[in-house]
Amino acid sequence: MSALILKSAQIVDPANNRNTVGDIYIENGLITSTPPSGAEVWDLAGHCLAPGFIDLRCTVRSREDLNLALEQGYTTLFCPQKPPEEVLFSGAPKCIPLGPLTQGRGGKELAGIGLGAGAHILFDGNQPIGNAGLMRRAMQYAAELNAVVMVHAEDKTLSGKGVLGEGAVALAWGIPCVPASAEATVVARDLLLLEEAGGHLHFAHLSCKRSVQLVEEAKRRGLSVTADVSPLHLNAWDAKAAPYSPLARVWPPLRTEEDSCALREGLKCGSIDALASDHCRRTKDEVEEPFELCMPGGESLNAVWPTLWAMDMPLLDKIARVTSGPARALRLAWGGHLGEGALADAVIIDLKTGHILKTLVDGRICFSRGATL
Amino acid sequence: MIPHLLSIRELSQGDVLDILGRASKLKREGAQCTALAGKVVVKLFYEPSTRTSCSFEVAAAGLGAHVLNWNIASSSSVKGETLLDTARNLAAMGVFAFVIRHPNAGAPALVAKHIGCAVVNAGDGRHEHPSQALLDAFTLLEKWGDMRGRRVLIVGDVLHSRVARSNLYCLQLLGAKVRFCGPPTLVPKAFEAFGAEVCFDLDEALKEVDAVMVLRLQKERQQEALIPSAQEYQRRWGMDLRRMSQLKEGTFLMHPGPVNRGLELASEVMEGPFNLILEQVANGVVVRQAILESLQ
Repeated sequence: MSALILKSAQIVDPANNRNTVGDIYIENGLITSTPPSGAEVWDLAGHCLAPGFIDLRCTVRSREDLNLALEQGYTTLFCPQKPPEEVLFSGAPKCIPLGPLTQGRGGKELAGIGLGAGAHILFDGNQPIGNAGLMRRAMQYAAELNAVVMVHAEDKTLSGKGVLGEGAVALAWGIPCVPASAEATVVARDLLLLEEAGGHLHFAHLSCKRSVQLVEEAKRRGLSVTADVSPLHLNAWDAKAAPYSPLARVWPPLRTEEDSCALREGLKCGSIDALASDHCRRTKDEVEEPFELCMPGGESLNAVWPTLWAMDMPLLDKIARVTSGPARALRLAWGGHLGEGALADAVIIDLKTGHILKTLVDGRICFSRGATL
Repeated sequence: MIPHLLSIRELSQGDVLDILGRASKLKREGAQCTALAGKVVVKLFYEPSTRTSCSFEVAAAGLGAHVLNWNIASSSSVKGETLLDTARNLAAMGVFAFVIRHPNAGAPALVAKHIGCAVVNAGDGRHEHPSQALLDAFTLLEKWGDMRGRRVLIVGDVLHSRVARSNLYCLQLLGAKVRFCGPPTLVPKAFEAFGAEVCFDLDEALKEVDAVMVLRLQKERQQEALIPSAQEYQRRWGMDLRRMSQLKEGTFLMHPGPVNRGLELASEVMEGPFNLILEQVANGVVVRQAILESLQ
């Protein structure tokens, strides 16, 4: 594998709290501390070099999704479902399936957590665990294995058949709605369980203000908890959506503008650790249905970095939310930073426009915008 | 003239007055049996309906249209055909208008967006039932002449009611005030943001109203724990003779049908002199003719 010297780049590496001009060396797909001999040298003056982006949840259904991910700076995608073999290719971002927490994601019995090959991140997709006792035992068991439990917080007895957050918009559209308590009560429950069970908990796609407050408060108390939000909820809310637009059919459901603002604020100040795409490309058939019957989801891989870039926050923090933040959330050592020994997954970003110029996976250029830097 | 009738909410006062004016004329002069001659009107009903379905059929036939009844039980939707595919196929046969009833809100709007025919919403989920609101307004205007300064009380399961929503918008558009009353689990306070008065005590709610519109209570609401029991509902929100006697003289009683006798309405009040229920049904035909005529 070729060696590379990336010279004079603005190195933005939030995990190491670094935002300085310097050089990065790559050899055999890893970051090294000494310049490799015979390496190709790139002058990155005026450009930003950051760790490759990590997506906490991305449904990969086609090669198009993987190419889009590379274009958007992603080098690692965590996948709720294993991507079909035929769409994978050499040079694609690493696709890591999230293991189940309960058998068949049925929410009844523990999955083979200690037997799964490397599946140390446990997620039942959008199937919530209704049984608090089971959740507590799952946390206890996962804690001993240093596994991370990722939670989709939803109480089905409160969400029912709802498809949009509770409020005037759902009333006007005449559709079943979901109160914020459907999410927040489970966030509160799981934080209390975490206190007793120990280990680490990560909340996926928080959608309401109250949940953000609960996580903030738990962090202040020193609990090992992280959380992410999705651009689907940052950039849209119920009153902004066109009536019955499939774009508004997401899960968790869209809520109010106030909730959306709270999510943004949480992301800005760091009480929300990561921005996860929750990307799921839907077919025409899946959205050409009455709103309630549309499959929830959205094409959002291409919304994550532009959303962060446009936000009023320091560059180091913007990059943290797609690199060190997700890595911290999932307890990853091998990625999300540019320290010695890390995988040479990196992105080169135009500091003026925010455009992703190149994406390197294991030290290899897998996406390049324009011919030269 | 309107391209579709999907909801009252997107109509102007002018649109509503135009339809009601046409209905008046139709009632006075009778329908022109050639108005829609040679045109096909398809009734696409994904939910059971007697009143609305028959009313549209009689209305369309009276205008000379050919009415196709697409029956869910014997159709290809049981074979998994989507709503849009069904509509596309029927449209290919040359259809003037679809009259659609569907359990999901927005279904008629979806067809209107994708298919190049006029669409009339005959009730979609808990969203709207515009033709019902228009016939209710027509019936009240016949009595009152003017809606301004009047207050209409709508009692019952407002949360799940498309009739309540369409009536709220229609009555307000014509200048009336609307008050909602029912169990707190079925009457969201958030309707105040739409200009409705919301209260839970029916005896209080009856004060200073000019008409009472009683909604049908679906029996499932008890299993869903939205009300404790039918008996308790009847006691607290049912209209009976005692409550009728609290109303000021000349207050009208309405119901979109079908009535659960002895539940939301006591049998005895069905016979009262100010009961407009059958007039509502009769006016339904001319109002629906007016709607079909208004389609471009």
